[in-house]
Amino acid sequence: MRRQACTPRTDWQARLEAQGFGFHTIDGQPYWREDACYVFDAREIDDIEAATNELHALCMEAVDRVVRDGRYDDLGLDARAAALIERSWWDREPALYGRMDLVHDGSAPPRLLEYNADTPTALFEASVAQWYWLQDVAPEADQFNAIHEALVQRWRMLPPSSHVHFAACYDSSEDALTTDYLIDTCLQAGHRATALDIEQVGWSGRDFIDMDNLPIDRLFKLYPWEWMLAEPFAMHLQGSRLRWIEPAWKMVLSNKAVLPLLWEYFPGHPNLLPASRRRGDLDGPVVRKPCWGREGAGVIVLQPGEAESATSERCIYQAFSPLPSYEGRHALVGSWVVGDTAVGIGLREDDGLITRNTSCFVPHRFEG
Amino acid sequence: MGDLKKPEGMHTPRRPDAQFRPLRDQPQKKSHAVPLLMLGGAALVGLTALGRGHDVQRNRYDSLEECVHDYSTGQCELDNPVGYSSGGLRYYGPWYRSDRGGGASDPGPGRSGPHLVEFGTRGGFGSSGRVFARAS
Repeated sequence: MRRQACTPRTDWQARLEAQGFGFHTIDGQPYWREDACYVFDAREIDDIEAATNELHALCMEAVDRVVRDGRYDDLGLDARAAALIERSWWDREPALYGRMDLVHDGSAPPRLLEYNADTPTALFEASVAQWYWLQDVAPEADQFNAIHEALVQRWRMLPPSSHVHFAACYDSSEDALTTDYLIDTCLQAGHRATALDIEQVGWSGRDFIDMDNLPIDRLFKLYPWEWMLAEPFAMHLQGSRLRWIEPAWKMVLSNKAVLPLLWEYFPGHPNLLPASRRRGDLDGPVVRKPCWGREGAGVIVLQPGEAESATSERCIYQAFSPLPSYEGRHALVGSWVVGDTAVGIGLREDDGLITRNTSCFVPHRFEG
Repeated sequence: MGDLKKPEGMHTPRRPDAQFRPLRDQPQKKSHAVPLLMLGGAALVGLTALGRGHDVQRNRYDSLEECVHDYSTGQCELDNPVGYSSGGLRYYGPWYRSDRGGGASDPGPGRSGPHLVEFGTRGGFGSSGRVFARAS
């Protein structure tokens, strides 16, 4: 894996905007960068793909064990969440997608930092923007990115001509693009789609309803389960017939408290990092992560013996494994899972050790 | 938070289809094509036209005959009052927009107009999203 300087397309902003990708630059700073790209060799891509498939299988096993043993207290989940998780798990409600954040330096096996299994974004950038970038700059080159075709195929898990509603915070351009792109893939699978702002979802007394006051059968929501459970409509979740995408059992995986459980279930696994709810269980520098943090918020690196600031948030600790640095940029591999299959990657990089919402997306290719 | 752990010795079976073996690597690494139907074009699913949420309501009747007087038979149903999952079945007309702004597809308040009305609600999700960043 290496970082290579590239010449940006002369009209790159216009090309991205023509695809609907309007936030390539945020507050005057680049979010999408194509003055560089990451280059892998084929063996590394095989390693990342195999590791992602392996980790996903471990995660599914972990959900099954959590449900069978009732380990909800370890995840900070209450009885209402547990009931929703169990019903969705036993009903085999299907998942659509997720993104694993991996540390990969080409020398050690890729290791899991976290699994964004409920509301992952940066999807359009990985699936569409970098695909068209490669078509423009090196169409003969290869890229680990079969995300689009996998999404369209995955939607076909639903009965033909299903009606799927989509709800998101549409005042967030990033959430809006992710959701609109998923609507696009759903339409390409032959279904009908209706978009809603999350605040427009209604409750009729018996059903969740759309803006036409019609019951919603299937709702993709780019809105975290833990937020839904903290809001007024949570009282209707248990009795509702609605099928959610992502399903409630994803609450187990999107919670960083699953990392200590994975280490407990599969100790020493080469694709996992040691993790615990207690700092004293880990040697060396550690990373403290809020169980429900997003975009790196609240994540801190702690050296051995270093005092840590107090926090009211529920946190876990994970052995510190620094992201590889290229020209001072720390690169994180976001590995996409659609259904149960690893289907592509997207790279984000940052000056700092922790990837945040200000980190840049950089396209990739591979050779060999 | 209560103790949600299953009691020691209690054997809960695996989900019958649970195998969870990692899938093999796929030979095809890159999408052959990435067509977009609507993104970037003018045919977005009406998202820019979306307004904020609207309250909805429905008329409650003591008998099917009263309901059918205001609506058609197919629009009337037996149901529980809002907020109750059992008991007290009543006849109800269809849901309609409280602000009369639903257009031709909205069934409206019926021939007699609203009398005994029950309100549905919107806005029960979304409050956390106004406070925190959403995505991951």
